[in-house]
Amino acid sequence: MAFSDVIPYLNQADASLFAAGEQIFAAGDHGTAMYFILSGEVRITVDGRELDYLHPGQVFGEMALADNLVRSATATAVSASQLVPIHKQQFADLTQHLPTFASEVMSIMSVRLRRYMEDEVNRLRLEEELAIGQKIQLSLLPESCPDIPGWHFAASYQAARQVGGDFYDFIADSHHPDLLHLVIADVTGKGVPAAMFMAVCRTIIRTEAQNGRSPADLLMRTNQQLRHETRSLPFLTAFFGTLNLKTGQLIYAIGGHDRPYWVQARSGGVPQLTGHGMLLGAFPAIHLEEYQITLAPGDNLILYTDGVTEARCEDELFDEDRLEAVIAGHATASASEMADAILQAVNQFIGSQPQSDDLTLVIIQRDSRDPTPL
Amino acid sequence: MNLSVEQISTNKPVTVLKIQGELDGSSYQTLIQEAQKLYDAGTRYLLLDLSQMNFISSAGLVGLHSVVTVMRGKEAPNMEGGWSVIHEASHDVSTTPGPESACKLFNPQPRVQKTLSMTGFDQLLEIYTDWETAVASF
Repeated sequence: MAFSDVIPYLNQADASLFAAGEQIFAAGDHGTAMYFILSGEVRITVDGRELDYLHPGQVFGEMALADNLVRSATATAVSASQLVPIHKQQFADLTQHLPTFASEVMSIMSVRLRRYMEDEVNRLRLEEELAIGQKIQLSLLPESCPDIPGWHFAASYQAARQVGGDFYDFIADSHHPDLLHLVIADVTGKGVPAAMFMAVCRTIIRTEAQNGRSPADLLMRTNQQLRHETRSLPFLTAFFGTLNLKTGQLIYAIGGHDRPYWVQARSGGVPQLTGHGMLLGAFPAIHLEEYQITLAPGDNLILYTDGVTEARCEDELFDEDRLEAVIAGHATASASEMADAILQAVNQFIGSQPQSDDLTLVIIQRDSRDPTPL
Repeated sequence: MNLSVEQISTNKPVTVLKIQGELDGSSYQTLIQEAQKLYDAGTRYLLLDLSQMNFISSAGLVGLHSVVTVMRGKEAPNMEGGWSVIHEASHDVSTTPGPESACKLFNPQPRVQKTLSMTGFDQLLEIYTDWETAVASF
């Protein structure tokens, strides 16, 4: 039976015209009729996801006839559409004239239900995978910041729902108690693969740090190992620094990562650290430079991932200018106040928009009362 | 992101693929597919016009990396095939010595240029700011 066979039995006087973009019904509405499309196109969506796209001669809203419950999906006219409602009694009449009509509608309903269920299963699977990835990721982050006299540390990690892969680490050097290794990194990807990759990177970095490698050497070695790891994700951006807790000397290298900010207590300046280098995992042989600064008492070092600077409000990015302004405005704040101020500024900036990427901050502050002469 | 294609005949037949908008996690696969389509249709010299691309994310870098792979006649990485596929592809890209000859970039905007420099992509791909020079470079 072609649905055009139905047309002579429809009461076309009942037809309603819907403008392009007009909602015909919404999920949750009480429904008493199904609709036959005389002209136009109709989109059926659930939570914004398209379930079906319908043309003249097709029907929708059939579940309302079966269960008299609320609509399970939203129907919207894509173009100007002329629709004829079919109520329960008319449906019964139609099936008397066209006995196969009921089974045709039932078959449509079954196809849509199956599609909806498959869609739901896929969505749940993805959500589950993202949740597992996030759990793994969280379990790899330090439980707390180091408690070291003369220093203050704060870290903040705010996970995005869809994209993830940030990590940070504080690694105490087992051979040199005066040294603390600092890591902040961002892995390309999301879900379980990104989390697993992150675990691999963390292990490599931790192992190489204990092997006494210098920062540039360590990142180059990490790159090499990632290149040999055939099940790896391709890219990782990372900052690695070795901090001498006695002298404030920081030796660092940057592998394609955002350059940290350095709040200089004495001058009031907030420069970004110098240096850059290629990201890890994408190229076979990279060469990274090593740089050195000394954190004076009262100085802060702010490590961050691009989730901070690339946080969005519509088309605008939070960007480095805003980050720098917040940092400069809190130059004398404590490490945790600094982290809170940056997070608050970013969250205020993005407003109600969903966070597009993981957002990670690590603040390292040398106590202003540190008596150690430089 | 919007893509548009233009064919130019100079010394060599160059295909210009203009990327407008943002190259990120929601669009990088479209770029890879387009590059594959162009390669299959015979494109061997590809100039990516970035003059109207205002943002590139890390996923966008994966996309760019994959375009280079495709232009080398390798299979486009299948994201559903697992990350190892991408890794293999990136291996192919990176082990060939010298800068890319089949794929070059034109006029990246400051923000994009900064990301390309920060991550070392400016060492993989030749970047031109003058149109005539870019087209004649193939």
